[in-house]
This record gives sequence, C-alpha cells and structure tokens, in this order.
Amino acid sequence: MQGWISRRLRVFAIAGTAALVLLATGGCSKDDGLEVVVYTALDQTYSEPILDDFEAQTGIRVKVAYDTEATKTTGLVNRIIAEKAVPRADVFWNNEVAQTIVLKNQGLLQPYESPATERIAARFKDNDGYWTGFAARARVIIYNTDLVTEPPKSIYDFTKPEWRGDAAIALPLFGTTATHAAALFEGLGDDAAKRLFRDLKANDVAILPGNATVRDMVAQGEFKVGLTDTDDANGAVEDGLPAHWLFPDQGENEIGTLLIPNSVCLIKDCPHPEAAKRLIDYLLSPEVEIALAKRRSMQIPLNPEVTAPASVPRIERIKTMDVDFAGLASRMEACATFIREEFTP
Amino acid sequence: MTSLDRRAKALLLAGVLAFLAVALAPVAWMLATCLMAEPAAPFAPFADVLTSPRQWALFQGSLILAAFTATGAMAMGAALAYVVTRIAVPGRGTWTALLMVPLVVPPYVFALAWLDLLGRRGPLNAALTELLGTDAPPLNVYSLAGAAFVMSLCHFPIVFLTTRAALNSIDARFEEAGRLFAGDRRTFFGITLRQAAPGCLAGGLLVFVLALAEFGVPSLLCVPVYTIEVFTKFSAFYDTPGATATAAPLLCVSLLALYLCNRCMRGARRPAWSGQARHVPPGRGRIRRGLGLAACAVAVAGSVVAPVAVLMKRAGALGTYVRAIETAWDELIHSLVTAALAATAMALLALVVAYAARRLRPRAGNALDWAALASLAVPGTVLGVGLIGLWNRPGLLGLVYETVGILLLAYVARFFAVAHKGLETAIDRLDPGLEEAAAASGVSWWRGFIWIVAPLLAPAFAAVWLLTFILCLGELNAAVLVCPPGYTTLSVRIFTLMHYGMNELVAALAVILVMCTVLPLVLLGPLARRIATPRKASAP
Repeated sequence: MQGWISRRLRVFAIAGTAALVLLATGGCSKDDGLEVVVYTALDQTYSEPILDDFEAQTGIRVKVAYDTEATKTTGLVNRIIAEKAVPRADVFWNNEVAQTIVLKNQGLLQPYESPATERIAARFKDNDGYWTGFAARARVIIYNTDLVTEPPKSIYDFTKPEWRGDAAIALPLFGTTATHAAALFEGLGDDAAKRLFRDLKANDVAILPGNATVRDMVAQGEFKVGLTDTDDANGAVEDGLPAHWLFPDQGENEIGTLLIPNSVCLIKDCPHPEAAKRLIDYLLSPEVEIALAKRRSMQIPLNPEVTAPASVPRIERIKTMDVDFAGLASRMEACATFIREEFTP
Repeated sequence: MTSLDRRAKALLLAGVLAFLAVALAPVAWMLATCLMAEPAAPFAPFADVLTSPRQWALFQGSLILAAFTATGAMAMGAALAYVVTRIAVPGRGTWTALLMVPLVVPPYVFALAWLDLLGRRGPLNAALTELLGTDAPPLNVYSLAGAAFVMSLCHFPIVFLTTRAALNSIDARFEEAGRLFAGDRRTFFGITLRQAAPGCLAGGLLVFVLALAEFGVPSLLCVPVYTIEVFTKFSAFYDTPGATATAAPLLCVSLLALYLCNRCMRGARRPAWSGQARHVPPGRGRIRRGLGLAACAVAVAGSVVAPVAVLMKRAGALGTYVRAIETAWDELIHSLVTAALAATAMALLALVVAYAARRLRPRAGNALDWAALASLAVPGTVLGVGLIGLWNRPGLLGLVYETVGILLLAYVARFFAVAHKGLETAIDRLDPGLEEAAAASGVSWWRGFIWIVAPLLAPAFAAVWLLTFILCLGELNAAVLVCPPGYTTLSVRIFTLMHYGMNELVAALAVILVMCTVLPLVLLGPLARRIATPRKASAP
C-alpha cells in the first residue's frame, strides 16, 4: 500500500514537473521579430485571412485574440486596460475609433506614424500619431423590400408617425450605434441631439441588442426599417434577403451619414514592437483596403489611391458628417449617461 | 466523525485551498480592487448602485424574470425527471438524452430560433391571428412572459439533471415501505418528493442565478434587465470598480436565494443511501405510461424539435454543415478539449471539496457553498478582469496566464458552484455509517473512498460533469477576456459568425453541437446506466 502510493506520488511529481517545464518553454517569448500579438475587434471572418496573408508574406507568426460585438463588453478594450501592468498585445486593430481614443487617453498607446499614413486624410488619423484610420463602414438605413416601397431618407423620418412601432435601432450604449449617438451630440449640439433621441423613443422605436439583430429583424419582417452599418446591411443583400439600404440624410441641407473607420494602434511597452510596426504598415497598405472592400463587409477605402470594386461606394460620393473623432470621443460619456437614463427604463 | 488518516486530511485540505485559489480569488480580488479604488472613500464605487428609481425598476425586472424562469424550469425539469425515473415509458434513455438538447444550444441562438416561431410575423402568430380573427398578433414574445418562457425552456435541463440524480438515489425500500403502509399519494408527497426536493431546489437555484446574470436573451426580447447596468459601466465608462460594485446586488440576491434554499432543506438533509441501495422500479400502469409518454413528447417537441427544426431550416443544405465544420474546426476542437478538461478538473475538485466540508467541518462546508456561488453570480466579465488582475504578472503566474491554463482556470472558477452544489447534495445523502463500518473493519480510508463512496456518487458525478462541460462550451464573456492569443473558443466564433450575418453557419454549428451531445448520450446511454447504477458496496 505504502509503496503503491509513493510510486504514484513519484509519477505525479515527474508529470507535474514536465508540465511546468512545458508551460515555461511554451510561455517564454522574447522579441526576435518573429512573432506579433494582435487583438482585433474586427470580425474574425474578415480579419483572419488578412493576418494569414501577412504571416505568409513576412514569416512573422501572428497570434490573434478576437472579440465579438455580441459580448457588449468591448471585451478587448477592457482586456488591454486590465493587462496594463504587463501588456500582452502589440497591436490593437479596432473596428471603430472611439474606443481606441479611450486607450490613448488612458496612456496605454505609443505613437507610431507609419509611412503608410501619409495617404490617409487628416480627419481619419490622430494628430500625434497614436492611431490611424483605414477601411471605413458607414451608418445606413436598412428596409424590408417586401413591406416598404418608399423608404425613409433621413434618421429624422424614424420620428414620424408613419413609422411608429415599425423602426428599430440598436441600443445606443454599445458598438457603432453609441459612436453614432456621440457623433450626433458633437455635430448637432446637446439639445438637438437629446430632442432627436426623445422623439425616437416617443415614436416607439424598438431598441435591439445590436446592429446585426437590427438587420436580421428587418430582413425577417419583424420591423420594416432600421438603422445599421454598411457591412451588416450588405450581408443581407448578398444573401438575397428582402432587404435594401441607403445612406441617410444625403440632401443639401442635411447632416450626412457617419463614417466609422477601422483604426490600428501600437500598445505601449508591448513585447514585440518591431514586428508590430511591420504589421501596422501592412494593415495600412492599399492591398488590405482592397481586400476589405471586396469582401462581404464592403468597407469603404479611405486611401484615395485605392480603387475598389464598382459596387463599393466611393468616399467622395457620400455626404458624410464632418466630425472630429477626438471631440466625439470626449462626448461618449455624457452621451452614454443620457442614453442610459432615457433608454434603459 | 469518521476517522480520517493524516494523508486523507492533507488531500482534502489541499482541495479546499485549491478551490480558494482558483474559484474564489478572482472575485475576491475584484471586490478588493473595488474597495481600494479610492482608499479615502472605499465605498465610493457603490455610490450610485441602486440609488435611482430607474435602477430599482431594472433590478425588479431582473428579479421577476429570474424567479419566473426558475419556477418554470423547476416545474418542467422536476416533472420530467419524475417521468423518466418512476414511469416505465419506452425509450427512457433516449428521452433523457433529447431533453439535454436545450442546454447545448447557446441561449441566444435558442432565443433567435424561438423568435422565428413566435415573432410578430412568425407561423404561430399567423395561425392564431387567422383562427381568432384578430388584427394584432395575439402572442407577444417581446415581453417579460415571453423571455421567461424562452429562458425556462433553455434552462430546465439543469433542474431535470439534478432532480433525476436525486430521484435515482432514493433507496427503493423507502418507497416500497411507504406504499405498503400509506398508499401512493402519501408516499409521493412524503417520501419521493421530499427526498428529491434538495436536488430540484439546487437546480432551481442555479437556474435563478444564471437567469439573473443573463443579458443576451432578455435584451433580444426587449426586456430591460439589471445586467445592462454592469455592461454599461464596462463598455461605456471603462469603469471596472464601478462595474464590480454594480454587480454586488446580483451577488447579494444570489446569496439570499442560497440561504433560503438551505433553510427549506434543513429537514431534508438526512442520509438515504445504505449499502444495499437499489433503484426504484418504474411504474408500469397503462395510464401513467401514457401520461408520461405524452409529457416527454410535448416537452421534446416544444424544447427540442421546434427550435432544432428552425435551426435546420436555417442551415439548409448539407453543404452548410461541411462549411461550418471547415470554418470552425479548430475552435470546435479547442472548445471540446478545454471544456472536457475543465469539467473533469471541476468535478474532481468539487468532489474533494464537498466531501472534505461535509465530513470534516459541516459548518465550513456552508461557507464554501456561499463562496462558490459568488463566481457564478457575478457576470463573466467581472470574473475575467479579476483573473487578469491576479494572473497577469511577471514570473510564474504570468507563464500560466500565457497558456490555455488560464482559460481552464476561468471555466473552473465560473462554474465551480454547479459542480459543488450537485455533489454536495449527493454527499449529504450518503450514510457516514458505511465509511465508519469500512474503517472499523480495517479498510484504509483511500480504499473505502474508492470502492464505497465513489461508486455511490457516480451518478451525481456524471451529471455534474455533463452539466459543467456544456456550460463551459457556451461560456463567452470571461473567455473573450482571458483566451490566450491564437486560441479561440467556439462560443466566440459562433458570435462572430452571427454578427457577420452567417446565420446559416451559426444554425449549422448549433445543430452540430446538438448532435455532438445527443449521439454519445443515446449510444453510450446503456453503458453509462450500467456504470451509474449504485452497486452493492463491498470492500474487496
């Protein structure tokens, strides 16, 4: 009995040591320029092939942590904040801008002006080089073609009696809808923006968990019209669902729609800075903007030299809200406080 | 008290310490960070928790939703557990396997499938509108009742499993004696129901806690719930201490529910297993069998066939399944392996911890029970940030943080309460006299444990393993925070695909998950039953 137990203990001890050694060797990593850790909030379906291409072209191994808009926790942003003590990520590839600016304001980024940023317009990048925007989505109105013949042309139409109870938006506390709300506060001023949101609420606009749900519910006919993003709306059209979309507020005196670029940034004190810079250069290359434009996500290139497929709207043809993203980001909290009071009863 | 030798005591103590380090530490860390955020005013993060009428309304909504969900799940789960253990319906193993299905489908995907059926323009409303000749659709799934209905259907298998384990463990002689002297009805209420109640209540409590922390389903059905306050703190204000403080009421209510459960159970904690325990033979009356069969059929039709049919319709052609597997093969393997490892570790650890607590220090056992529930009651995000705070540091801890080990730790921490609760109720029903008799006959504690205790606990162990395995598969919020880069889990993949609008792939993956769970259960069912049947205990 005794012997049996001590033999077993020995086996455990050996196995345990082996496991620890494995953990240690597997865990150790130094910056030999051959590995880069990227956190990305852009859907895996779009980001994975691009990162695979980078790996194939450069031989640098890419380790990715993906997020999903469905978590509602802006998981990776909170992860980067929580990992502040020992940063693990090198690059954060965000699918929007406001949260990247939060990271900058918390002192978690370091500036890096890639040679590729030159071609991007000043309003889509940080003045101090902390982040750079590329490949944008836009906010659009989606409508069910079986149920709607004359779609609304403006987000203000959602406050009209004819769409009462038939329009849906995502909860403006999360994701691009939150960014859109903050942009409206920045663009219209607090009073006008608050009035718009109160009118929407008074007109029984349904508040759904996310933009993808808005798309699905409109395509299913649960709601006739909704507000969502180009990538979501285009997916429904490509799938042959009875849905179509348009850019809102394109008239002469109207505010235009909001463009929301991807943004990429370098994490402060990151473990592999050299490989990280190469990845950032690659992500800002025309090649990537073309790839993202071609795919289902139909992201609109910001680099004027990039020629996207004809089906992708060109940036100069869209009337866009002229917002300063730093100003927008500074509005996020006040806007969220208002929305929380009004829209979560 | 049984006389345990020193090595056994050391093992049990090590188990308890491991539990404290793995399961309790992250939440304790978060609470500590929350209190230390402003040392001058430690309760500052709590300043705006439950202060406005709006928050109270949200909180009330959550409580009502969780209470209805738990009640619905208990009614359904307990009734079905009774049917499959006490009535000789044909194909009991298959029914049991089928009733597990709702657990496997992520609640959000499950709710989407129900929206197809119950939505404003869904087939059920269309049929009812025609039948009743009304204008407005008569069923409104976008309501508290709708959400409670869908969530009860998602969660009832938890109660079903725990109650079934309890019913299976009742010694046949109790019921036989009862029937002889007091008749069927009194036996049912006085013995069967009473002995099964701890299992049923434990399941109900877990459902209540899970429903309280749920965010996806209520928000899809436009039912405002309190968890949104926690998520808002995280994603709109990046205020981790605030989010932790905001989650405190959820924690308090869960602990209160545990206290009430324990109070209700005070009289029921009595040993029920003796050495010659055997199964109660199922009833064979024709009416009972007919009713039992009908109950199974209705439950399976409503909670399995209908939603799975919707998912299969969405998935469409066979090619979609192939594509789904191609797209998510790595993630599927990652998730199956990590969930299986975590479930095994969790069940073993819970076995040691629950046994140690019950046999060495029953009072300390209650404290552990409370502690375990804490990690389940706070949203996964809070737990995830706590794990990062604890493990992401230079040195040995950081090495673990870089590996899959951290994901296992997250799973164990999150669902330990489920394993602990399940095994604790089983151990409570174990007669210490058995172990004492073995010890008195000179059998070492180890052999007694392996040959007497372990076989008697096997059904509960199996149920706990399955339950925690499935819960780990679906875990999302903590996984997103701690998954090592380069290692994605299936839950994250499913939600990305859903956002991408690949609903047919999501549906196909859900169906594949269902098949992955149901087929082994159906095929291995007879084998598992043979293993799980409490044997005549005898020291070899």
